[in-house]
Amino acid sequence: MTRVVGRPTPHESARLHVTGQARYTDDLPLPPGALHGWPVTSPHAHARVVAIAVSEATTIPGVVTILTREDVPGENNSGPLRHDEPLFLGAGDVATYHGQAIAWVLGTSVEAARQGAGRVVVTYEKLDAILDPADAIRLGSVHTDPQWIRRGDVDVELVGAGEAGHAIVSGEFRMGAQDHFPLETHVSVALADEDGRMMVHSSTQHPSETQAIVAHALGLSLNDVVVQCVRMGGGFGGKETQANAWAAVAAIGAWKTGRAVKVRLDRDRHMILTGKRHPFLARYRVVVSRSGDLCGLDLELYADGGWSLDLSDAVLGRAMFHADNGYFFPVMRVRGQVLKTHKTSQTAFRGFGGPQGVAVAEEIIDCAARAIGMDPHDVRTRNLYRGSGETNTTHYGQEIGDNRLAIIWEGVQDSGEFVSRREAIRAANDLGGGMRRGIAVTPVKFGISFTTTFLNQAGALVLIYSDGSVQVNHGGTEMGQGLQVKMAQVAAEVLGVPLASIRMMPTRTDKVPNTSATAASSGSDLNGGAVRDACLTLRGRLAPVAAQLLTAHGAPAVHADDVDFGDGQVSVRSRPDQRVAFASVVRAAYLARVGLSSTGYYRTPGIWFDKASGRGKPFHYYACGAAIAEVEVDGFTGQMRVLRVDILHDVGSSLNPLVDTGQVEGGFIQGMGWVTMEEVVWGIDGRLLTHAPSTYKIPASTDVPGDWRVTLLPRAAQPGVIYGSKAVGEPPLMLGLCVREAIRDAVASFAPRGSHPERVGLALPATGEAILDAIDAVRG
Amino acid sequence: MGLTRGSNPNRTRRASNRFQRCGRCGRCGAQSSTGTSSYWTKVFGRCGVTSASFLLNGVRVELEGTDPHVTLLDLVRERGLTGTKEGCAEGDCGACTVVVRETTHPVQGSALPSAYRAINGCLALAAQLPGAEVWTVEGVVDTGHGAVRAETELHPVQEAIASTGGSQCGFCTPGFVMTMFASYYSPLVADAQSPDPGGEVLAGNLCRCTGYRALRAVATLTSGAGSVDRSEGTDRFARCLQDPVVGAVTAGLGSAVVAYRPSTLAESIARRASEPGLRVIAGATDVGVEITRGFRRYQGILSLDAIRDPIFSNCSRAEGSITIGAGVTMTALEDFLRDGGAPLAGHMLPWFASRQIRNRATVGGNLMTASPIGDMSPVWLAHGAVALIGGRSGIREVRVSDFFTGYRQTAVGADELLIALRVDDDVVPRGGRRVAFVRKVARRNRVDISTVAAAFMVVLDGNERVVSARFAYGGVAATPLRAIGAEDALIGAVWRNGDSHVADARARLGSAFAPLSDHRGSASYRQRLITGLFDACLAETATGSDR
Repeated sequence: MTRVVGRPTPHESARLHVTGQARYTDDLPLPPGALHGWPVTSPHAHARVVAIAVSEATTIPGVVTILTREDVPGENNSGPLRHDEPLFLGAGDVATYHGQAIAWVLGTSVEAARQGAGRVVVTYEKLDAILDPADAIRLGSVHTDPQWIRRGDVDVELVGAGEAGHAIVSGEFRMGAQDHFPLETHVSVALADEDGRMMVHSSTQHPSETQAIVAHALGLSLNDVVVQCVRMGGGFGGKETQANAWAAVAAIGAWKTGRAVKVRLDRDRHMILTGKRHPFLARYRVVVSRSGDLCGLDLELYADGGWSLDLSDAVLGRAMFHADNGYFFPVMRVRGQVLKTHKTSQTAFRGFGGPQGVAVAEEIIDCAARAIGMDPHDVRTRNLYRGSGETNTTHYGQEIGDNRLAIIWEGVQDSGEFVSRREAIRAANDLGGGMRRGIAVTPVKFGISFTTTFLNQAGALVLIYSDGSVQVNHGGTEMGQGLQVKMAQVAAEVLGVPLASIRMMPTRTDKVPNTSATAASSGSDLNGGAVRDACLTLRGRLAPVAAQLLTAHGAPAVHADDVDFGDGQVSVRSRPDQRVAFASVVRAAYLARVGLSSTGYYRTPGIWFDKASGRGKPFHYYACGAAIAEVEVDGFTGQMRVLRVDILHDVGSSLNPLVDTGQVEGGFIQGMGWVTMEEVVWGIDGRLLTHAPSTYKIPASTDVPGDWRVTLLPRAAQPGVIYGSKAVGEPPLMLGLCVREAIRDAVASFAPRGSHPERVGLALPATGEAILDAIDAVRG
Repeated sequence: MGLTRGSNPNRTRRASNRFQRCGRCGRCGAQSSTGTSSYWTKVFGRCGVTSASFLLNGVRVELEGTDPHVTLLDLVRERGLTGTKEGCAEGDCGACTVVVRETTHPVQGSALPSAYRAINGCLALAAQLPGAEVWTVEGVVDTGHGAVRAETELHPVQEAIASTGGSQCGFCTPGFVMTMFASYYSPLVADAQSPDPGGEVLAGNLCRCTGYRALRAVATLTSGAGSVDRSEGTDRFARCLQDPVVGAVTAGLGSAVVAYRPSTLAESIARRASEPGLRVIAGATDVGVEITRGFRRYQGILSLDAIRDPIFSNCSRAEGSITIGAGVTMTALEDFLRDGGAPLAGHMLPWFASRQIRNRATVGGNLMTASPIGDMSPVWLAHGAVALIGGRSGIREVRVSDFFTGYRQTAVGADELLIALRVDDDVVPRGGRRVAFVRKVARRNRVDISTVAAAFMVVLDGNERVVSARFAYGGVAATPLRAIGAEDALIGAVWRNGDSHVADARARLGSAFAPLSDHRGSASYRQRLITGLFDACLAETATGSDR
């Protein structure tokens, strides 16, 4: 029988993508009379609204109405957890970031609404703004109480370090924000249903939460609101919570006017109004032996959450879980806290705090190694998690179990000719000159599961029609990651039908309720489990029907357990040539009054975490990988080129190697962008200065390594996950960190001949300016 | 998910007989023709009507009454062709990429009369559309019916992208398809000969999902690099390349906002003099951004893109000098310079914006923006180029070093137009040589605005002594500037590290400018780049230096 899972199958919508027929929310035809929204935004990062005058705006031709706080029938809030995100601000309310929406103008065209917004007069009383995380720490501006994870007593380790002959290396390290930059910006279209109910099309990763926020804003029950997401033009976490507000505004507009309302943020509004990857500030003291063994780590992590809490507590939590990356710290204390600043509300972004944790670990390794005069690569190698028991257990007490770090670490270095290349680079750099090369390899170990345990559940609804064709619904959303093709493969595999028989349906809250966000790399694991469950139920119902059809006249009855589903046929296991078409079985089942639709459900087994004690098994398993980067750095200008990248990554037994390879490649480049060229800059007044691709640079086609070798770890089936596969969405992003470490290797070579710099400080992102700063520092 | 039948471009007649009938009355017919604008008049002229319209996927679209500010992107999306996307509306992401078939520029020396060129739909203004032939992603597959079905044969470019993992979220994909479509039929030598053909073809298209590997592989095939089987080169799009293009039509749009599009320089200058409030556009890649991002609206537009006076629209080569028309696009200039002349320009052009922008942006328009950076401005400064400025009383010459009179201000008067640039070769003494150095430092290597751009031209005699030197920078002051003091100090110096004159020049460079800090870089970084680029130039070009 032909397997459907595991085959390199193109994206389910690939043909629609290349022909321009794939529809996104902005492409939906609008009904007559549809209105468009444009926000009136705060020109201050922190200011009290004194008064709002809208009358002048209504004189603009095409302006229909102005939505203000008073128009909200339900709760004026879109905060997903804490209700701290007012949708509209009125007199007396306080604007807490530059660009925050105060009111929304609805017009018959975008142009009319925009002009109208320019005529809404808001007066403010300006207040002091906190923008820098260090200021927030000093002033106690926080969203949360501290979280802790502790292993052993790091104070004892610090006190005893001197006596033991160990070094204590301390430092402060900042990581910059990153804009998601999905090519599709936020869009919502709200259509008032009959009975005052609401239909919302939204570019959202979390239709159920969008549904809830809309319902609360309108004062409706959840069953009054239907949210649909056909597909997104990229999400990356930026549409996990941050799509909700625009859906709610559109719905309030539709509620008030009875007309369809579209809220589409143009690129600038998208970047100015919505949250980004959290900037972090880390302070650390690490104890390292003279031979390079990590003995203890005392770490403070501050996530700059921006104006509201959003998901920052969980983002911080994942950063704390990943501050070990792949390294065994026998003693460790991590304190984490979310800071409150007057900036966009930072949010989920591919990796969800993991990248910041991993970056801190790599920063600490590099600084510790150079402080004791060792090659950072050797310190990485000797401190990887290993063996079993304590040395293979994380700081929060989860045993890593099937630890593949060692084979990946060695495998990528072998295939990537790391040692010989490093020698060649050293020799070339020793000749001096303005152009230097650097090389580094970094690992990633990423925990898979929502760390909020209850989110690890999913539902599906599978419908078989009487001609044998199938519709599959599940709670996951398609944002380009290939979830739909994987789910189609799972359904086709279980039902034994060709992929062409499966139609993947748009994600709707009236098909599968109470879904979790498509996030945490979990889309395939969770929804795949649910789709498989539903298909198994249906197969169970069809098997007896098939057995009956396959029982030859006068022959002994074929038992339902003895039939196989495959290639669009159902066959007798012991006599594969004795078979009947799947469609015939379905037809017979229909006539025999057998139900041909079923829900499916999945929850991840065996995971838990106790936040109070900081211990538990928050992750179902770990996804690991490693990457080597070779770069060339220009000592005159700080410019940098990535020459070659080798990646070895573990996706388990891949459901779809074409899709998974694409995830690894795309994740790597996005991570590389974060640590190199992507710099989010806020001005001293809190204004976002980088709010369009002209000022905010994501990697382009010419930034990709010319020599790029990506390998999926072979023979890597993961027990207990759908068809032995592993999550792939987020982990590869952190592979991009090797580029920064390779730059650091090149920078170090600028130190005076024969000397080794005790520290190579390199900002994140390592822009050209940051690289030149680092070179100038090691040149002395 | 298919397009509605009524809006489907593929239901119309095949490309080969598109011009057989009058688009206006549908009856009066047209003959094959070789003209440009006159041809358009013929096609739509027998019934007595000249037409402000353009061809969209082979279907005539009437523009009568359209506001000239409206973008091609909005025009096609409003017609239900939603495959073309808005990603940024400022020409930086390429999601709006569409293709125009246009007359091959004379300097490009192509055997074919026309070529497909990718442009940013978000920056193409209705003012410049009459007479254009535009293809969007929906026009690429000729389905004969509304939807692209499972059995529909895709275009080879589409098939390659779809089957190799070239699309993930798919939002940027139509733009990539159109960029590669243009490259597939009309590959550019500049791309094919670059060290990274696939990367260069795609530099104007951003993808946030895939990491570009699969896309680059397809683009490498379309770029014309290596030996690619072009057996597909006889399809309907390839056949079309043999046909002349209608070309810019000077008919107005009949909108409340006037849009002039004269075909002669004299008329353009007269119009500028009589209506000084008009916004002048050439490729509109900068003004387009003012309209789409800055929400500017002008009282009227004067487009220079239909001017056919050779001095404005062409390049020419004479003994010891070249003259580049102000209306020449950057893409055409790239082709022209492959035969020599203005070496600094040739080196800078790949760093200048994207292919989509270079297909529209003109040499003159770029200079007239008087950007403090400008990328090409330092190049012309270092070449000692001369600007030819036309007015009602004739042409006057102004050195580019005197051209920028202040922040975003030029020496071109309110009743004048920049017509051309002349670049005279630097005379190199016998046994001597010329050092030409160009570098753009930006956050990203392609499609970015410079932090600092530099162009240096140094002439050495047979003893490596500096005979003349021009050092020009962008991004260090309110206008692009030469470092005259440093240049003077270099005269007579031996071009190598350690020479005292060279050291003096470097020191003078260090205090020549007082750059500002912004989000692209701090003043300190810019200051270090000013001398760092000098050091890099010296290291690369002085004999006996090690890099």
